Amino acid sequence: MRLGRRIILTTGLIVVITGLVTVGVLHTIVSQALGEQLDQNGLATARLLANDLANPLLDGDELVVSRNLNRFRQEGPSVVYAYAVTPDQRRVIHTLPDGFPSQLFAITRLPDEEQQTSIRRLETEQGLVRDYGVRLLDGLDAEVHVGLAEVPIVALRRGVTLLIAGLTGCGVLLAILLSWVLGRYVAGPLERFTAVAETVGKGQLDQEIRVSSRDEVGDLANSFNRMVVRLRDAIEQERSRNRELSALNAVSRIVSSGEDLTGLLAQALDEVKEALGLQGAWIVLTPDPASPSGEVAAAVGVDLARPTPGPERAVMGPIPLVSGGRSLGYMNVLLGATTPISSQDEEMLLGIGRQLGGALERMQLWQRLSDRENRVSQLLQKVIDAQEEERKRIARELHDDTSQSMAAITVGLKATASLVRRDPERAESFLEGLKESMAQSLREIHNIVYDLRPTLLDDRGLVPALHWCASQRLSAQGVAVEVTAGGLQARTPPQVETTLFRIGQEAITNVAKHARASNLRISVQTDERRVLMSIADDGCGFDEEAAPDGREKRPLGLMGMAERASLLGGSCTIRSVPREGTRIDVEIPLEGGVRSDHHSAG
Amino acid sequence: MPCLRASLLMMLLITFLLAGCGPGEIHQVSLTAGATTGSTFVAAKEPEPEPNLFYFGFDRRLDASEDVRMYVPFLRYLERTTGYRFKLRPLNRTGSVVDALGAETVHFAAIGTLSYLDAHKRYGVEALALAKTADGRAEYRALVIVRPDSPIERLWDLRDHSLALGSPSSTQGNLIPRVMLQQAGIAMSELSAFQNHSSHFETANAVLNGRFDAGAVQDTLGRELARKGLVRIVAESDPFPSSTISVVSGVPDEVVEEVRRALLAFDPTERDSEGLYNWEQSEMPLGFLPVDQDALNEVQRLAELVGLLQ
Repeated sequence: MRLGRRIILTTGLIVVITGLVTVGVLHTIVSQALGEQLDQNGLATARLLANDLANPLLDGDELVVSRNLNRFRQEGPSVVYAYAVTPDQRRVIHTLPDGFPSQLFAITRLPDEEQQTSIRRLETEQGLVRDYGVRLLDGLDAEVHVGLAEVPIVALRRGVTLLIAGLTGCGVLLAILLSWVLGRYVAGPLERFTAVAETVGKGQLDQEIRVSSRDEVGDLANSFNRMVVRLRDAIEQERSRNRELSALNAVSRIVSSGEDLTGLLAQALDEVKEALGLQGAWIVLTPDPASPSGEVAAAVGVDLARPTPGPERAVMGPIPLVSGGRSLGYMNVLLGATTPISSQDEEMLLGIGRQLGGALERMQLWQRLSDRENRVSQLLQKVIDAQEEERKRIARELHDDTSQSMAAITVGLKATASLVRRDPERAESFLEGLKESMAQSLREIHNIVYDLRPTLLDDRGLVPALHWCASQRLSAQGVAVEVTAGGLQARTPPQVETTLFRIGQEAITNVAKHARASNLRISVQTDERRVLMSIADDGCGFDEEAAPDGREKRPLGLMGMAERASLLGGSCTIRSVPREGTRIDVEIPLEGGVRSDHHSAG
Repeated sequence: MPCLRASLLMMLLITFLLAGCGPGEIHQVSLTAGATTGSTFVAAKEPEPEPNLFYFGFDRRLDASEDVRMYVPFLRYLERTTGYRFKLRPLNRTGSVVDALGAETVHFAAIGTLSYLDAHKRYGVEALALAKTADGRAEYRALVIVRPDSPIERLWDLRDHSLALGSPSSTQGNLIPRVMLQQAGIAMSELSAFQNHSSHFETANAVLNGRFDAGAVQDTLGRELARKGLVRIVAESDPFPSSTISVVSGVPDEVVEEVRRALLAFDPTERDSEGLYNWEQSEMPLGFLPVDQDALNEVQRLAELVGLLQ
C-alpha cells in the first residue's frame, strides 16, 4: 500500500476510533455527572420535604401532609410522585392518582434503621424514575419518598451524545481531508526520493534528489545525496585500489619469478606503466644510497639519451627502492601532461618501490652469499694449502735441520764410539761437540713446535705472544716492534685470544713478506664489551682497489683475517695507502666478559 | 501497528470500565396498579413485639419535630447504658401518653407530674426519677407571661383578660396556673377567655401573636423568651415537683432497675453531653433525681383541688 493511502487510512481509522471511544466515554461521564447531580438534588429535595412534613405528620394532620405533598408534586415538573410513611409505618400518604402500589413501598422503603437515605431506579409507565427516600427524623420509622423522572437526564444525555457524535463526524471528515493533504505533502517528495533511490540502486550514481524543503525529508535527501557522492568516490577508490593491487600483484609475481635482475626490473616497470597509464619509467641503482647518481638498471617507454621530458610530459620521482630502511636505488616515472596521479597512486608507487627494493636486496644478498661461498671455498683451499705448506715446512725443517743434525750426531756418535777406546780424550771432545749439536737440535724442534702454537699464548696471554711472534719474525729484518696493551688487564676468552693472535700472526707474516717496513706498532685495548686490536706498519702499503700482486681480488690472507673476526661476531678493517703503510683494525665483542688471570706486555 | 493495537485496546478497556460505573439495578414498577384509590394507604399490620425493644413516649412540650430531635439522642444514651433497645413513639396531637401507657404501646414516658399522677391512678404507672431542673432540684415552676407592651402588670390584672393555657395534662401549663389563679382569688369565669394548647410553644405563640393577653408556660421557656425581650413575666409560681420518667407495670423489674440506674447516672452537662440536641431547653436539663413521694402527694392534692385529677 502506498504511503499516502496508508497515512489517510491510519489517520482516519485513529480519528474514527478515538471519536467513538470519546463518544462512549463522554456519554458515560455525562450520564454519571447528571445522575450524581440528580441524586444530590433529589436527596436535598426529599430532606426539605421531610422537614416540611415533620410536624404535621407527627401531629397526625394527614390532610395537611397530603396537601403539602400534592403542592410539591405540582410545583416540580420532573416530580412523578411523593409519599410519606407515618411513624408507625401503618399509613402512607401519597400523590399517585391511581392509588398507591404496594410494590412501590416494598422496593423503595429504607432497609434498616441505620440507613438514613436510599436511592432506587425504577422503570415505570412514565419512563425511568429515581426514588429518593429519607427518614422523616433520625430515630423514627417515618419516611418521605420523592420520585423524580430521568427524562431530562436522558434528553440531555442524548443531546450531548448527538453533539459529540456530530463533532466527531466532522472531525473524521476534516482529519481525512488533512491526512490527504498531509499524505500528498509527505509522500510526494518521498515518491521522488524512491524513484531516485531505485535508479541509484541500479548503479546510476550520477543521480541527485532535488528537495528544497528544510524538514526531515530535506535532511534525508541531502544525506542521501551525500551518501551517493561518497558511494561514487568509494567505488572509484575501489577501482583505483584494484588497479593498484593488480599492479602490485603483477610486480610481486615478477619479482618472485627469479629472473635476472635487469629483466625483472624491466618487466616490473612495464606492469607499472600499464597499470597507471604512464608514459615511461626507469630505475637507477645506486651503489651508495646517499649518492643521487648511479647506474640505470632498467627503462621502459623513455629514451634516456634525451632525458628532458618535454612540455607535454613530466617526471615524477625519485621513488626510492628501499628495503629494511636502506635505499638501494630509485625509480622515476614519466607522466603525460594530463595523466592524473592521485595520492593512492603515489602510495602504490612507493609500495612498488618497496617491493622492488626487497627484490633487489634479495638478489644482492644472493650475490653476496654466492661470493661468500666462493671465498669460503678459497679459504678452505688456503687452509688445506697452509696445512700442506706447514707440513712441508716442518718436513723441510726436520729434513734440512733436525734430520741433518741427527745424522751428524749419529755419525759423530759412531766416530766417538770408535775413539772411546782408542782416543778417550778425543772421544770426550767429540761428545762435547755432539752435546752441543743435540742441544741445537732440541732448540730447532722447540722452534718448530712454537711456530705451530706458542705456549706463551696459553701461559702468558695475547700481548706477550704477539710480542714474541713479531720479534721472532721481524727482528732479523731490523723492524722495530712496539706492542702495547690498554684498558682492562684481564685475560679474554681463549677463542678470542687465539683469533686475535692468528690475525696478528698473519699481519706480522705479511709485514715480514711484503711491507718492507721499519716500524710495527701493535696495540690491544680491552674493556668490558670488546677487544680492539690495531696493527700498523710504515711499509710500502698497497692499493686497496688493486691487490698488491695484481690479482683482481684481495689476497686470501686478508680475507682470512676478516673471516676469523666475523666468526666471533667481530670485524676487521684494513686500510692501506701506497707508500704510507697499512693499518689493520680488529674489533671482537666480549659476550662472556674477560677472565681473571692477567698478562703483561712483555 | 502494535502501538495502534495497544492504543485501541486501552481505549476500549477505559470505555468498558467507565460504562461499568453507571447507576445500579433498575426495578420494574407499575405506578397505575395501586392497591387503594385514596390518598393514603394502610401499609402493614402492627409489627410483632420484639424482645428487649421498649417504646418511649413523651408529653409534647415544644415543637413536635423538636421534641423528637431532643429525645432521640437521650434514648441512644439509654441503649448504650442499659443494653436494651428503645424506640421513640411520638403521639399525634390528639393522642394521650397516659392512654398509651395504659395500653402499653408505650413502656416508658417522659411526662409531667399531673400526667404521672393520672397514669399512676388509672394504670399503676410508677415514676422512676424526677427531672433535675436548672436550680439543681427536682422542682420547676410555671410563669405567666404577657407581651412587653401589655398593660398587665400583676396576676390580679388578668381579670377580664384572656389567658392561654397548656394541655389539660400539663402540670406547668395547666395545673400550676390554675392553682396560681385560685390562690390569687381569680376564678376562671372571671377571665374574658381561656383555651388549652397542646404545647408550651403554642401557648407562647398565642401570646406573641396577640390572640391571648397572657399565657401560662414552663419556667425555662418563659425565662428564655423574656431574656430575648419577646415577653414580660408578670407572675411566678411556687416550686412544684418536676417531670418524671415513668414506666408501665408490665416492664420486667431488671429492666426497670437498669433504666433507673441509667437515669440517675445521666450527666447531660458533662460526661453524656455529646450528641444531645437542645437538652438544656428540656424540663430535665441537669439530669434526674430520685422520686420525692411527698412532693408528688402534695401535687395530687392540689390537682384534685382544682378538679384536674378526678
